[in-house]
Amino acid sequence: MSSVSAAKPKESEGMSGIPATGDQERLIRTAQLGDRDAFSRLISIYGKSVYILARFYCRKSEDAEDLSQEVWLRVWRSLAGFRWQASFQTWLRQIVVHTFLNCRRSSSLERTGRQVEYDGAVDSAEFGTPGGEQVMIANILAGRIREALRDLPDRQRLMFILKHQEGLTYQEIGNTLGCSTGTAKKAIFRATQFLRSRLGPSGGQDTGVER
Amino acid sequence: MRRRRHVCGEYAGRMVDLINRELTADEEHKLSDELRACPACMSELAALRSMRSAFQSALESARPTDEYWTGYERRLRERIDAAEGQPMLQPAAVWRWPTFWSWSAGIAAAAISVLAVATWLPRDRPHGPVALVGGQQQTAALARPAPPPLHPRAAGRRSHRSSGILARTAKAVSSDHPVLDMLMAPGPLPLLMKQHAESVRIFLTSVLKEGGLSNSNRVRARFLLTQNQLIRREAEARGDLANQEQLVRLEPVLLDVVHMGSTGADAISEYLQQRIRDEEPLLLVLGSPSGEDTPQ
Repeated sequence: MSSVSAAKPKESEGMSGIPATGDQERLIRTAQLGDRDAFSRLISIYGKSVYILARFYCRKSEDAEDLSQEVWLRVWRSLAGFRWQASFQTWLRQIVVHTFLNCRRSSSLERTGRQVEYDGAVDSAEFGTPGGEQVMIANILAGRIREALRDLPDRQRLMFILKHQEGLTYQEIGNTLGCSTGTAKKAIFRATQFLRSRLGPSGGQDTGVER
Repeated sequence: MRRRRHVCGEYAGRMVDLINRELTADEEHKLSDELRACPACMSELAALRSMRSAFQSALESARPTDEYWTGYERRLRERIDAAEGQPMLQPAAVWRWPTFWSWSAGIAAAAISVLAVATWLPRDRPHGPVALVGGQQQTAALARPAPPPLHPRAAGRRSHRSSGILARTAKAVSSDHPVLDMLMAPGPLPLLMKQHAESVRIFLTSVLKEGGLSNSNRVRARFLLTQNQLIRREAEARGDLANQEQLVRLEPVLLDVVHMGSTGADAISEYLQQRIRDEEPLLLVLGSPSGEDTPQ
């Protein structure tokens, strides 16, 4: 059963960028029958996208892991009920959205403190090694953007991330979150304006570190 | 012809649409022309583009390393292992196989026991393999293992079904669930469907009237979702594809209502109105609406 092969996703693609090949369909059908290996393959295909979405939705990295794993637990429990009426990506995205929007009861995900999380920028940047400084700058930038995103309402934040990480249209975002296209468009406009004002004219790229 | 005066504020929305790639090529071209004449707008557009590109870079930097991902997958497998004990939504095929194999194992074990006992029994015993069960002799034909224990309610009315759905239902619903009564009623499935559809319709109408989800409605939503899943499985077991299909359409609506607990009342109302409009024809066909309660 575990011999089912699957196409690997390209780097920096969201869930929607992954083509649903015949192999993948077979993989999903095998996982539906309770095959753990097939399910692991599904995680290796879609897992990183879900994790990155969670990474920008949550404030702390440990919350992102917890939340994205919660998504996969739900997928595992309800995969047998997936009826192929929509694509697997669409179905998975629905679970992601529901899990994310229902996660805020967790105390660790609530807003605490005001300090900017630079995401271990200093730890991960290996000074003196080629590219180490760029890694640090990228991490500072990512931390600054996450900090700005954190102050957006949950739905607006999620819509903004879906727009830019998954590349969904306003209409697709509206369908996923169960609202009209106009509502999705308005929410993303507000989120963009908010981030624009928080990050300044450089769009947050002025990290204060000399390049 | 006089050219319309440029007002920067009027372009804010379209600039966001532009960086979000929501405009057609023509619209993009036209907007770029209009913005080119205004340095303030060009500067604003540059800032928006810069923000977008910063976000894309941030997405790239958030990609987990291979080392981290290996640990992540291991921890996830552990969580799934730990959750295995919880009830899962399983298709009928997955239910049947373990049951078949465990029965086969039981039959094989019983047969071996019978043969072993028969080999060592004195010759003056009756011919043919025999087994000692409860201190009394029984023939091998009775060695078939007992079926799995049923839910107390199911056990009393087993004669109504031959599809095995009751055993599965009893296993799926750990506590007393009123839907068991519905499922075990001798009536035909369409009647059951009608009652269920009417319950769903009345429930959705009351949610709309209340403008949100009260605690009792949330409990009701979970109940109706379980009921929907059970009846769907029953339809599946009977090979009733038409009814199964309709229940499959209802299920996401109920699932969404259950999961919309933390969203605002407005969002729920808006969402439900849209979904009910979509599914109303189905509910009207299945249930027998009493006009007044029809969702608006």
